[in-house]
Amino acid sequence: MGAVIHNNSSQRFLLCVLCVSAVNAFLLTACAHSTDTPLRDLFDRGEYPRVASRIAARLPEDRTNRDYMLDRMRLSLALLADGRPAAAEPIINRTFEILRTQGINDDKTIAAAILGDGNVIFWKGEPFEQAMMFHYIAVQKALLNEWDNARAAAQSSLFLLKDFGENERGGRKTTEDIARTAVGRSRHNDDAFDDYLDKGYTPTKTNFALGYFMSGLANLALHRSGGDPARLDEAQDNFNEANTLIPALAPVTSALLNNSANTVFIIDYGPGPEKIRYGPDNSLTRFAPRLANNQRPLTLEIFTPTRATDSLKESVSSAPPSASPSAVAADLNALAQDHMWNNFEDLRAAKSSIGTAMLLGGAITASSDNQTAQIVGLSLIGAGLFSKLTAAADTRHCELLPNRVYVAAASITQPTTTVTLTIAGGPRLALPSLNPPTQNSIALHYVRMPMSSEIAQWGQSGRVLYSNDSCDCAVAGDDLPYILGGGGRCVQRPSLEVLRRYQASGNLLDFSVIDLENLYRAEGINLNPDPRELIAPRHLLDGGDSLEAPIAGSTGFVRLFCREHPPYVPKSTDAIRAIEERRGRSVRNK
Amino acid sequence: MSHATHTFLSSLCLGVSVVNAFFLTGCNHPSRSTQLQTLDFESIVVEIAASLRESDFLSGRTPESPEILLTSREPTNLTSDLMTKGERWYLIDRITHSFHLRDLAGERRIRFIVPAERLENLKEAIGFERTIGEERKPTHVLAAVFRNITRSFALDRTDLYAAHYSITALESGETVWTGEYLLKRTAAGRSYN
Repeated sequence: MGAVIHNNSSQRFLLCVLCVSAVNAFLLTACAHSTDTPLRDLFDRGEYPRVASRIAARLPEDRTNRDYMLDRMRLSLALLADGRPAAAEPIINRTFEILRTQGINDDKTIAAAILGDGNVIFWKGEPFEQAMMFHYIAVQKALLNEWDNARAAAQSSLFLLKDFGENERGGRKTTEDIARTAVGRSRHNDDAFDDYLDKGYTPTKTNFALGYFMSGLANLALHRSGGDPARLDEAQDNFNEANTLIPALAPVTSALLNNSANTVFIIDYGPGPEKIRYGPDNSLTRFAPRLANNQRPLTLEIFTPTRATDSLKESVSSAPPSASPSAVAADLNALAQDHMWNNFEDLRAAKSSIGTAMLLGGAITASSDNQTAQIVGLSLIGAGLFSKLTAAADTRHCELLPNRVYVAAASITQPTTTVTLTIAGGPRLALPSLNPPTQNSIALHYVRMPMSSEIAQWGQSGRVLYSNDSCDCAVAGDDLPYILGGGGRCVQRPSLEVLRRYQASGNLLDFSVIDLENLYRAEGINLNPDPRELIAPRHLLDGGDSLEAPIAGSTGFVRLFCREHPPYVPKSTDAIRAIEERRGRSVRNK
Repeated sequence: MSHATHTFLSSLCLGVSVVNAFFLTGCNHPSRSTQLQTLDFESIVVEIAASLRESDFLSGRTPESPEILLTSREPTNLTSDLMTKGERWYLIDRITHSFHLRDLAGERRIRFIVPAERLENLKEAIGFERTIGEERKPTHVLAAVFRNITRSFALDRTDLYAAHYSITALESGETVWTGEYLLKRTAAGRSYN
């Protein structure tokens, strides 16, 4: 050791190592992950299939990838918004399994955070992101009419939170307050920092009203279908908790409990908060609103159509539309800003503070006359620099979460009913072709309100323009497949029933169902897709090869079937011949 | 052996046991999830099938007993975990598959009938005529409900799972057999971490 202290070349070597470390650290920081802004913009515009395709194409299989869970959350949200809960099943189930695994990061150390993706802290999301994901799992299960699984997921969202109490100003402690206290305690004892964060709080019952609402709803649905009185008790208990947290929910829960509503709408609106860096060395993070908090009411109106092919304006029945109760059940700006809903992963703040302390301490000792102290000091400076250069916090977050979640209860009694959702001073979306639920059950619809002005082009007519497998609505042009042009607007999968409808109008008279299927196959359309490959199917109308229709009542359904698409350009000789033969027959008939 | 030697050896054994227990505990990585695993499903069906086989309901039946046409229902999941359709039906099918059908029909006069929930799927999958299953007149139904009780703290969680099976006579509404299997699972770590 003494030889090292008195050896100048050794000192130079050590300094070189420290410099290389610092440069490496700088490069590592420069290569840090950045938020995928275009993805978020696409999502806001309602381009859910493109979002899903993009994520599915890069979905990491390596669990040490920090995006492993995050991309699965993003994909789940995109598929739900697109009205494809069945396609989301494997991804959703996997996210549930991960979320139900506790203490994934308990064994990890601050060193793991410093070393980045090579020795990662698994990204599980902030607690509010996790609770929201449990909520979406509950929504997906309810959309598939698996209310018991919806109950399981909703209950899982009601996990205990950690409450660090109030600050000296009498307000809720901020993350910065908590970090400052932890640093203060660690001055004389290194372990005190972690001890404070791990033990300095009170485990507290959640204030996630949306979770209580969904849990109540799932129990009520189970009660209605199975008659179990225990489920009704549990529904009432959960609704009471939700109403206590957000009194505006009471009219919605009352309508459900007194059986005056049979359909629930879960409506996501606006862009959720964004995680940004701040503080010393950008080592702390906080969530900043992308859309200000407001309590703009949502109006839900029900229109009973006179004819399914009518536009919304024409289809309003003589009776005035009925309004239904609604309320904001989750305000994500508020959740994200409350320390109870944060996991303090930006204890990179700790790392940054440790770096600062080491740098400071290192500078003092390096200036001493003692060469041993100099080496130690230089080492501390190096470690401090390394730490500081990698201190900028990771701002990875689920940017596809909404600003707020509305819930609304309605009574739908007629088939092919149209429901409009209007946010005061904001967008309006018409959901056509909604049917009443089967007797003794509750229907749930999940709607993502697109933000862009494009919604005005396709979101408001309430008119289905293409016949599809998700609704029984009659559409002008449903007597001919879309792939044969000539005004054909049917994108239903080939079946005897569908073929008979074509033939009743004098079309495809010499076709069998097999001929029709072969025509689709010749066009490269996948009629029997492998369910495992259905993660992000692109519909024929979107230029893809799938006829899988989004479910009615979803934004994806409206986006796909309520707007005009360019005429189909056939690729196969079979389709071209069929079109020509049809044209020839049409000319002969004239 | 002297009393002192006996005391010494006893103490030694106890000490070794304590040390072993310490190391074994230390080496065991704590479970991170209380969710039921594949082996748990297998334990449930093995135990429940054994319980049914040994039950008065089954052992009391002879070739002269009135015929039972037993169907089943998709199990209800009242746990805090997801259960896929496949898992649910596995937990029913493995019970019925554990019996020799011919023996059951001949010696116990029990025959199994396709569950109503699966009838439509069968028709669609195999292309059966719509009339299939109209003769289906079950006399009894096998049902199952899965529940759990959770105790959750800051750093750990315990779940007690209960698998409850029953056979009910449809005409009388009488429950003619019940079977139950309990499982405890614990996990360490913060739920959100």
